[in-house]
Amino acid sequence: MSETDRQDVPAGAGESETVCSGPLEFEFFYEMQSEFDREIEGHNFRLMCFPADSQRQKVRSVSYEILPHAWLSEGRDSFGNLYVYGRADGRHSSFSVRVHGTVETGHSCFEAYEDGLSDLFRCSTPATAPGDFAAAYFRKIIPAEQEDYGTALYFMRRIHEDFSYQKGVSDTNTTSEQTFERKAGVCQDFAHALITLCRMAGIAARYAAGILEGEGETHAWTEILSGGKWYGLDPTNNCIVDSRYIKLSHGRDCRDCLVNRGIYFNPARETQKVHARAVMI
Amino acid sequence: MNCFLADVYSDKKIIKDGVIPPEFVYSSSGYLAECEGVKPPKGIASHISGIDLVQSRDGTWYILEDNLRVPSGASYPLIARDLCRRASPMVFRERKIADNRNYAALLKTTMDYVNTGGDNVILTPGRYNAAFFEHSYLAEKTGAVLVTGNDLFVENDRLYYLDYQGEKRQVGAVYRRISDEYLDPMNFLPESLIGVPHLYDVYRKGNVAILNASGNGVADDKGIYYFVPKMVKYYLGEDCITHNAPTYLPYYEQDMKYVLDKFDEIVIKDVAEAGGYGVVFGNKLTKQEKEDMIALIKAQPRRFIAQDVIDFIDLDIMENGERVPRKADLRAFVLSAGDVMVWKSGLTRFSRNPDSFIVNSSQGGGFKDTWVLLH
Repeated sequence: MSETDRQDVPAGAGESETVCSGPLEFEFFYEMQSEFDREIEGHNFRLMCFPADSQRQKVRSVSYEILPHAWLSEGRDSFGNLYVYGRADGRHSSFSVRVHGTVETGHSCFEAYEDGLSDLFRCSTPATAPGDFAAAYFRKIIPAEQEDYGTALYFMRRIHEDFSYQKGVSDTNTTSEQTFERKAGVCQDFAHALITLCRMAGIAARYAAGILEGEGETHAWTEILSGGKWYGLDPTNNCIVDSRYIKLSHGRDCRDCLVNRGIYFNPARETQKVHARAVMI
Repeated sequence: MNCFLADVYSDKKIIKDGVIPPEFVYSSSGYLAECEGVKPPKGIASHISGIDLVQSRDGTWYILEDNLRVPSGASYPLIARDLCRRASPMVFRERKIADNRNYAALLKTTMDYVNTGGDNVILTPGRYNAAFFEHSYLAEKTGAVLVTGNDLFVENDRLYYLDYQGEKRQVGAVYRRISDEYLDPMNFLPESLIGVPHLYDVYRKGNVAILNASGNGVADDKGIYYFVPKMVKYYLGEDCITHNAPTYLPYYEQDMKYVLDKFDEIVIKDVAEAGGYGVVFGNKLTKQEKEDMIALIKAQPRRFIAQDVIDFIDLDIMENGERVPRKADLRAFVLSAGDVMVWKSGLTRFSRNPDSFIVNSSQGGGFKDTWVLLH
């Protein structure tokens, strides 16, 4: 049965309605600066750091500057994420991306389920596949019978309580199974862990990347499907995704949401600085 | 198969109507989420299909496999026929054998039909690839430009190559002879050195045709094979003319029971493997191996299919100057360009080993030309 057939209103939806404090307007910046220790060439890139319109957020303006480039073009992937792709000709040793815009968030506390991919988001991926540690954790915290939204909320609270936020113990290739073993990680690991638990319970769950109000790096959270709607849950901060979150992309796991995909010739060491900021207007 | 591919990457009616369980689609290694919502030019996903057929001793024809990704081998019967013609022209004068020299014309028609504006190219991994002969031969015969990934480049929303004068020329159709995961390092495996960066971005916008489309692996998956007769009935309202080999999915309880009851009479195939690997005959296993295999099937029922062992007709081959019977199958090439065109020839593959059922060339199989007789 597809999600849209279901008529029941999830418990907790009312609760999140109150959190969703109505439309707020944010000015956001995303800046990435890559330095290479030697010159690279034949640099092809794809950048996924542009908010798209949804029921939750409306994009008022976006501008971007990507240097160097020979040409740029825009695209939209299978999940509806916006991206810019292009190539930089010649040799260069630094690459910069600056995105700036304004977004109205909090138009709704959920997103419509439209792409018909709920079953895909119930299947595990290499980064989120449960192993023995995930299975043991799942057994330990096994939830009382309740609907999907309540179960996912419970999982989020458990992860937040049982896992510690620690930088440096994981990297972009860390799987959720490794996180269940360490019980520590950063927002990406927390989001993956919640996805794994939800999918084990048969709840469609997806990874979301974006910018949280304030200053720092990009953020990641989880979205779960309940009653035909996608709700955002942030296990890192143990809260429901509200007006303070600007979404840039979603997918099966972090691999679908990589902000910067690039290939080039010449082996070079890349150091990357990322700066994200969202300020309420 | 084209109806299924169009449906499975868009509305998914066949899943919603419960004909195919969703996990068979999404856990298939040939399923690519990147292809969701992408409409191939003219709606054709499988342009060149290689259908592997066998005939049993009672005369019934069975489809063993549908190859919808990059079926290879059409050039071998062409070359074999060419050599035979030269060696013994009388054979062809006296017998009514369908001329097979039109394959290049069929292939060109197929490329032209979906071409979005520009030249046709054949994309090869390069001259070290085992099938490079075929790539260059088909390029020569169809007038397509033979290119490697490095010869092609994307600029903005279009795909180009540089011709011998150094002029930039647009590409309208890519007959690619490299697999999905290596096609575009920006959209699929980033490690690929033989692909074309951004090719799939251009394809998404409908500005180039790729033959065969990416993601076709979901339709020729061994697990999906079981559902093909149901698919034909579902989309076309007709029963299949050609039979599938009797197939069982341990995923279904009833079939699991059959597999356990008849273990010694069936062949078990790992759906993730190809090229003749991962094929196990129940009666060839030791007691221990058999127990291990059954435990594995019970643990991962989705991973395996089981089929009755069909007693195929052996074909005679020449081995060391001697005429000997060997297991063989026939690959028919079916091209789709608005109309469906069946090439009146095919690739016959045989096993060199007298005890083997495995005909794949990667496992030492041989090939020969296939004659279609005109009445």
